[in-house]
Amino acid sequence: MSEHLIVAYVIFCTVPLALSLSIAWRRRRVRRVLRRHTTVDKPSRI
Amino acid sequence: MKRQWWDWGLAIASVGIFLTALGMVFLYAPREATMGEIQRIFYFHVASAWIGFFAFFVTFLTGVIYLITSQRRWDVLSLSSAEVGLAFITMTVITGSLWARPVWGTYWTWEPRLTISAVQWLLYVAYVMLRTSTLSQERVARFAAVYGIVAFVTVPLSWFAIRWWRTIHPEILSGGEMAITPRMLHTLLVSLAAFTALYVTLLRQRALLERDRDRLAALQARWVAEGDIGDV
Repeated sequence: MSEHLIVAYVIFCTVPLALSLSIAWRRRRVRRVLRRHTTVDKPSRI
Repeated sequence: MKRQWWDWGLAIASVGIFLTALGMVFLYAPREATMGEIQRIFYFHVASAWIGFFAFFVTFLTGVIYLITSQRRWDVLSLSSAEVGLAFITMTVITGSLWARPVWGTYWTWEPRLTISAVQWLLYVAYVMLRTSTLSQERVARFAAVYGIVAFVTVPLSWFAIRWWRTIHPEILSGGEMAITPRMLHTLLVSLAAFTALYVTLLRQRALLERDRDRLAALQARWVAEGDIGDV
């Protein structure tokens, strides 16, 4: 099987996965700060 | 809680359809007579391109609605769709190049479809960069809406490039008919379904991220207004 074909399908699998992980990671960071803001008296700047 | 189940269901369904499409590409679709194995790139390449175009159409449409209504949710959809669309078009351009090397003998050639794709990619990279601007949210949103509407011109241009100009890019939709066998068509349709599901899942996740950011910004603004903000 052509190596170009394998590389192409590795890209098709990893790019959506990478975007999904990047969104999840950014969201987790925001949510952590949000939680801190809502559970302590004073919020901190991010 | 219900929302979380919905999100997980959507994500699992996307992965399921994606794996089914992947299986069909390698096990169900026949080997193409002229190009051989490398033709199998076509199924995900076309699906990724079409859904990328659709994502940019959503950015265009929500941009128009935002300019009319000024409601933040349309701006969030616009931004989220552009980011997901850019990821899809990036895959399309890279994998198209990988297909071109054994078929055309080169990774890249400045023919109309490829040139427009390169311009389109740069325009949407600029769009995503624009969204990180430190100007006020409303000004950025308004400017981005106009930019998203103008940048959308590249989608019909790219679509019709292979029909209007002399190009070496293959055309699969000719006169409303598909120039492929039924098994190839089934594989392409399942691939399209996989990328559609993936688009909806990623769009929703990206929009939820923006919603959380808005909540945080509102909370911070409230504390600043009350003059009681702590240090890091």
